[in-house]
Amino acid sequence: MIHKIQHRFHIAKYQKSLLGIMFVLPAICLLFTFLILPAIMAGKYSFYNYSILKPENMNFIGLTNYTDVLQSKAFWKTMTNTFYFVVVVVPFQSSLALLMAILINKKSRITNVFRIGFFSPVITSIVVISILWTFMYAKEGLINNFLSIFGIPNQPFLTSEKQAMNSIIFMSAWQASGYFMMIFLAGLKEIPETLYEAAAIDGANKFKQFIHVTVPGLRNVIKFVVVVTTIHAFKLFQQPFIMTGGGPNGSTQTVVQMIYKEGFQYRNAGYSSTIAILFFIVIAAVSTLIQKLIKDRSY
Amino acid sequence: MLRWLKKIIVMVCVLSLLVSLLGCAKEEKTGTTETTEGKSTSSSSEEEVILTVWLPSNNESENKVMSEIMDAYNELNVGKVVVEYQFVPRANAFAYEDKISAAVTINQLPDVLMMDGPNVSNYAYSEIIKPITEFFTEDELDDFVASMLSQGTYNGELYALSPSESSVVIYYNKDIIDAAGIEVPMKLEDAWTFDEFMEIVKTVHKDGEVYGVNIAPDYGTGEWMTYMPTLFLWSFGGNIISEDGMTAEGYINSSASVEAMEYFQSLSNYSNWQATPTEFEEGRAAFKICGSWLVPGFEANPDLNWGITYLPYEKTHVAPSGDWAWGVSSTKHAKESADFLKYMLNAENIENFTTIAAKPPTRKSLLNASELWASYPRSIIKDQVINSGHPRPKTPAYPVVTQEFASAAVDLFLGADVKERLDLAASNIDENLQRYFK
Amino acid sequence: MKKLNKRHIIDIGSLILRTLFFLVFIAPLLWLVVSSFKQEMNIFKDMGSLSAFIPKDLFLGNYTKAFQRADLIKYVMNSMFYVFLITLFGMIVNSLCGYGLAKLKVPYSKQILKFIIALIIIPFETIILPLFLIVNNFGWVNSFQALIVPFIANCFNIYLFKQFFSGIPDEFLEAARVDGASDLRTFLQIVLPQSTTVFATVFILTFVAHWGDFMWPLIVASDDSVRTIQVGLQFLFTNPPQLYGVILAGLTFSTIPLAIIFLMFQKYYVQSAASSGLKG
Repeated sequence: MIHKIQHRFHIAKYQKSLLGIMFVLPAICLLFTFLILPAIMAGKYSFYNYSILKPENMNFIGLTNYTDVLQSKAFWKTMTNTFYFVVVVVPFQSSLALLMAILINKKSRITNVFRIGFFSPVITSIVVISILWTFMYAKEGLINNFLSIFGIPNQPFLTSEKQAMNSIIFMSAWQASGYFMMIFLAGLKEIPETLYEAAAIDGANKFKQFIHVTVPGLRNVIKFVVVVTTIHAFKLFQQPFIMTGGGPNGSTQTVVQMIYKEGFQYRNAGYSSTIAILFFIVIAAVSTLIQKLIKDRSY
Repeated sequence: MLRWLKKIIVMVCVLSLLVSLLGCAKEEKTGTTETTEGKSTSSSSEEEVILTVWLPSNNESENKVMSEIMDAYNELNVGKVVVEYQFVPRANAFAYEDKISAAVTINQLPDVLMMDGPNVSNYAYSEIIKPITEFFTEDELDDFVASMLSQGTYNGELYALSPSESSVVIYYNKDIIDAAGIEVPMKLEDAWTFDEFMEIVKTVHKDGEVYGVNIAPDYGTGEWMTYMPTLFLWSFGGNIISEDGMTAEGYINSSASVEAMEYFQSLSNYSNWQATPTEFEEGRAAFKICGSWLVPGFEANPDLNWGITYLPYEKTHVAPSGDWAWGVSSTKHAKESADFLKYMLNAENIENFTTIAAKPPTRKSLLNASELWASYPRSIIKDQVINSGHPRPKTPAYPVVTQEFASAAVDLFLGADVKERLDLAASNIDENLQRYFK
Repeated sequence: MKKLNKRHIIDIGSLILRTLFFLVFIAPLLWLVVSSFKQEMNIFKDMGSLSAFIPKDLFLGNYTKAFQRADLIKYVMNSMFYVFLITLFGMIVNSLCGYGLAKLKVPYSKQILKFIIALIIIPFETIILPLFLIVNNFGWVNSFQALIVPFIANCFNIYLFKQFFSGIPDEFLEAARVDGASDLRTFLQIVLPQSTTVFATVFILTFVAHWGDFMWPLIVASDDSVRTIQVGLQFLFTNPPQLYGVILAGLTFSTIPLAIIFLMFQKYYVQSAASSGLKG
């Protein structure tokens, strides 16, 4: 008797997880075919000398690509540039996005208009935005003309090694913050109004409400946005590609740009895959670290 | 209002879905729209050969005349050959080349394709294009300008030929130059030396009002920053890479190259790297160094009082040249491809194409017979094409060489130390050559 | 009295802040639209001052030329078609997966989730080539399948769904189960109606992300019948000389569908706030 019940219980449990698997399986299959498999192939290429134009000449060269990449100054320079971009842009862009979300988290016609405005850089093609900012950042561009009103001399925004990356950071944060604002906004909608009312009755001002209601309520979302922004930031490619071509003196050259350049333009799929694999390892380590850090702090 | 909008959008989505599905169904029957005509006329014959062709998409009039020429070929060869051609966007970076790379990996290159001139060596080295020397007699080849033959030749074999050439010239704003009382050379032997040119640039430059010279900056993203700065390099006796295309050390950073690039750098004092595309047209630059392709646009601009002159020189007269050229892949249909290639490059078709495209033809017979090219301003371009044209370096590592040189050129224009930066470019190029080509 | 004043000041301050933000953020879109109606010369003459954002002439030549150069309407239709299908299938597949990981019994679900998050970091540029070989193996080159199928499953969206479904209290679902609803019915009838914000977010973000695809469509789908708007737009970048007016006209036209999609779906943000009874 007991045995029978246990057996039925097993079947029920088995069915339950079967159903769960059915929910998850389609996505996993697709991910395997179109993401994991190509990544494994890239991993394989990283051990080969493989020129795209001569696929038949592909030959195994062991770790040569790895030692070459790790000794390449260009690789470490792009790595440094990319890390600098990530470290500055992530806090800046995330807090900007959160600020924007809070500013327009109200129900009224006018906030709809604001929301559309804040989101508009996201729907405007990055090509347009990069071209526009290239001209706005120019020597005789809008921003310098504006600064000259306050007596600030002409700034070489994109043409000096010191400022080029910062200029791209500012523009990127501005462009992408609307995207993450939408995610924050979705999170804010899930925080019940009653919590704010309760806090207000307790005499908490706006700032205190923010600290004690908003931030804890958004904990998951904040974690999510920071991790995703970090990953997005690591993938920086288009803006410097269009605005500076990686210059001046390689100061805006990023890792993904190097992967693209080595792989497609120089046609060395092996070498390019090696950079990609190393890069992959680095980002995986960083995002794990961030998740750990955020977890510890929020409890 | 919004509700209506939503309804419309849903309708549009459903419609577009239907249209696309119908489009797909139709396409299966007749082939792609671009090639329908050729295919439908001759589906009866079984021995007919289908030639696939890729060429870059330029402006609509150039695309139109190219299509007409190829359609005419299909009509001439009904039942024998059908050319299925596709215009591929070049975009502003290297999209066309990326597409070729992708096609090579899956063995789906077209039979005949156009490629940018300097890539010929890279493709020839990789054996994705075949020599075409035997398709032509010596007399036929003699008619092509030297710079074009040189561009298409790798290891003693001809691989590619183009219908049209290009050249870099100096445009000037007549109002500004006349006001400064400057006389502009009208003959190649009167061309300014680089020192003379610098003096003139200095006199016409007015800080904050008029720049001495505009170099058509591309912000460091394309082929231009190799194509243009080589005019300084070669004239000073420098070079990017050795004759055999295998060594950069001692060439790109030789004393002549350093001297040339120092000159190039000094121009930046009178030039705006972040110039808007219309700086010269607005009268905010006295000179503009740019390709011969600007002539038709300037001619159509009534507000602009302009002229052109020869490039300045140091030791020799050199004008960068080169254009997109036809080549043949390792195709099964070698004979048909050769016939098509020869057709595209016959005098009549080159004339048809270059007249519309307003580019100098590569056949000397056409250049010399043409009245258009005998008169100013085109006579100057013609003179340079015949007498001082110089193709970009020939090396299997061209993609690397051009990127490294172009980014060095940009950095120099923005003030980097010349010798140091060229040394770096040399070691980057040689490292790559060492790894993949030796 | 004093308190009231303070609140007024805060309200006015926040309004000014919002307006300032608004102006700075709307600027590029404004520039794009305004410049597409300007003569080539004026676009750049105005660049140094605020007149860059002020309409001057209503010059339609850029548009006629853009439509002459490329069949933009057809390319926009193609793009709408494939991006819409990616988004639609993506919402189904990814929300199921996210729900499974959040609320159902899936063996090793924690590990699977970690693995999926780890996959977000693969930059697309690094797998273009192997992916191209795979898609070619399937015989999908120059077809809509190549544009759609590889992008249906999306790690980022799975994570997004999972995060939001995790926020739904278990007791809430338990109640439905006690009433005899199956897991699928619980998902469709109880969970979905509560999740309009997530779905709207995913819809907008996915649509926006794929609307801008360029490299991939160029390589796998260059045939005119499947050509997308981003590839089609490159026909306007005819080199040289580039006519920026024409380019901007094409870009403006290609932004319209996105703007409409956004306007349609952002409505759900307002709605879900009203219906939301869930804790975050």
